[in-house]
Amino acid sequence: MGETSSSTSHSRQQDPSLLGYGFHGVIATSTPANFFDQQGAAYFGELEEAFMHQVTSLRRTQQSATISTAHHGDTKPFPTAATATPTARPPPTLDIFPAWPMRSVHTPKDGSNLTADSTDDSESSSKNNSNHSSDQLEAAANMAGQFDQVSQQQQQQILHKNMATSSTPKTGKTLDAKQTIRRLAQNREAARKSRLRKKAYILQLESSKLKLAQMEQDMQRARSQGLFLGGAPGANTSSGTAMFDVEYARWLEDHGRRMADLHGALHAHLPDGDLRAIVDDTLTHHDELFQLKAVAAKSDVFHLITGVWTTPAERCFLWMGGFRPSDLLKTLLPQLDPLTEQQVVGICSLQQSSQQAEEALSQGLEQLHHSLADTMAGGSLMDDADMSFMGGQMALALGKLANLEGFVIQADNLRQQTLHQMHRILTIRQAARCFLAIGQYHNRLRALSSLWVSRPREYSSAGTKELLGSSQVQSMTDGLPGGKCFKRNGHPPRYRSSTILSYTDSFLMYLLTFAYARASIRKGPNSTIDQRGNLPTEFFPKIQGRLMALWDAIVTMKATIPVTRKGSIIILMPIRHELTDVTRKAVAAIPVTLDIPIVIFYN
Amino acid sequence: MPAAATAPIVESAVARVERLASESAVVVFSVSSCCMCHAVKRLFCGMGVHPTVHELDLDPRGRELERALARLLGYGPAGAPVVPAVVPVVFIGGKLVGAMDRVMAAHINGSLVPLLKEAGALWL
Repeated sequence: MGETSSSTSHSRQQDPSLLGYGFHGVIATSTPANFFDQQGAAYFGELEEAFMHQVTSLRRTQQSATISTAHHGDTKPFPTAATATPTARPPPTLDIFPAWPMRSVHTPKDGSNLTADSTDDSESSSKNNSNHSSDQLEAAANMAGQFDQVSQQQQQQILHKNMATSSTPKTGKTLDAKQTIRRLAQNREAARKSRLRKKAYILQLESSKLKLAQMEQDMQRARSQGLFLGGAPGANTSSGTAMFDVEYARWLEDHGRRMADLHGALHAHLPDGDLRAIVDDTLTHHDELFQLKAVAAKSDVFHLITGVWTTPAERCFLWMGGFRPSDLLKTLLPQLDPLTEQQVVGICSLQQSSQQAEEALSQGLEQLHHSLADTMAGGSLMDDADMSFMGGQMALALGKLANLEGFVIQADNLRQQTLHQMHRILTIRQAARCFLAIGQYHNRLRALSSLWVSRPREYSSAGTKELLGSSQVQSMTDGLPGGKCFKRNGHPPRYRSSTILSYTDSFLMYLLTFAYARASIRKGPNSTIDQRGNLPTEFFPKIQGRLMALWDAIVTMKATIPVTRKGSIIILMPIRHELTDVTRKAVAAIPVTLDIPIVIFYN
Repeated sequence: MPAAATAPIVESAVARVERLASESAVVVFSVSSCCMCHAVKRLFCGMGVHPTVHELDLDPRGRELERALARLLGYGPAGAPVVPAVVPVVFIGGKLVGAMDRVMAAHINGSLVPLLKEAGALWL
């Protein structure tokens, strides 16, 4: 019966929340845009039918032509004529609820395109709803408002006209029309509100997700540098220092990338012009760090001086908030061979002058300490005259403390000038290697720090069963990072992956040295090979001892490394660019030298 | 201004600075309590140079000299914000070298020692 179907359709429409749920369900499963693609012709066919039905039904309900034209105009604010076939973008007329216009014709037409199934009916209605909702989402909010306004007007007009026309044969239908119009309006309102709420909720979710991701990233960065979180000194300084920490972390990432570029450029044997550009870029990048530090010094000099922004191992070598230039030069000089006579002289004099400058600054700082100590002790420490001290002396002390900033800035200036002078003395290739060396040195310090932070702390004093039997091997491991922590009791320690990785790095470096040494000595014309075909004795035990120690360390770490069925050890290694050649050759050398299967993966 | 022959003509601060600067090979304007000035003095002593030091806080006209030095260094006129410590300021051979950062930069890039030798402050 038409009535029953209408009632069901009405009941569907009367329950806006259900309708809304239908919306959400529809939207959740597929984006509105897809709907058009998916449904395609059948959808348009149905829509066209609905159009026709609506048009005819409307013509039936309203008798005056003006109303109908106005109605058409109102219901189709988008430029499609009532009789036009639907275009690729069917007009989102709110009145195309097939349930409404077709309720009189729906049930009799069983064989029509539109099936008589109520499920299909609901499906198409929900499709239309989703169409309507999708169009709503696409259109601006004011369009929706306009729509509603328009449809409100239209409804009012209809009601008005309906009331005006007192033609009885249509009264039943007009009353129904009034009711349904009202219900439709309510549905529209409810649907719109729920859509807006949903949009707001989604936006909120997205923003909080972004915030969470950002926070996690920051925390990870801070943790990887071994910083202490939550040790902020005061409200006014913490923002400056926090900003510096973030900027420094970013600088470090940038630095790593540039080092990789530089390394690649160096080994690709680029022409000097290109290399020069990259090296100059690196120098500028270092200058940027000094800029950052200068800004941070103004905000909180103690943050820089106490080295909270560095890792523990770097902090150990800290001098006035950074590296000591003469130390760095001393480390670099042997790495930069071959150098011309002139260059050697230049670097030595640079070393000497930086040493003098450092000495001068250190003595100035010492003077500051003395002066500050005198001020703080000023007068008498015994009296309870704190108030008088607080007044004048404190102000004096504050003034003296402000000088610290100057010292840190001068120290950074010294570092910057040293780097620039190095750049001037060396050739481009040498300068590239120099910067790489500096980067690598600091990387190792940072790796050392992370090893230190992650070292297992399970010490048991009584009855320590040492995993490495011979004391000879132990003494050889003492020089390695974390070597002393091999003394453990029975259960295997839990190492972090960084520990494993850095041990395998060292292992492979030594392995390469070992393998190469053997190979070169066998091949070389001036081989100092002895009768047994071994390396010179003073060379051999040291390397082999270290290899054994490292290998033992890796074996004891086996507990934390997954072992394959074949019993080999899988070691996951990130690509350490400077070790690419090394590892490749070491992989080839391993079975020969140590007779243990190792599979090494590169990320 | 009295054009007396016997009374010394009151010279401007800048002129005085320049006169003092050309009196010795190495002249350092400092403040006795300033630690950075102490550092500069130690630097020269470490190199074997004996600079002439003028302590501005012990000079009756120290304020003016400080302001003149600020202007020489290029800090703007009175309209500029509060100038950070001007001293130490170093003159070598009567010519302005600058504040601490310039001195250090000159030392690192190797131009300080020739300058000192030229002025006759170093003989090696």
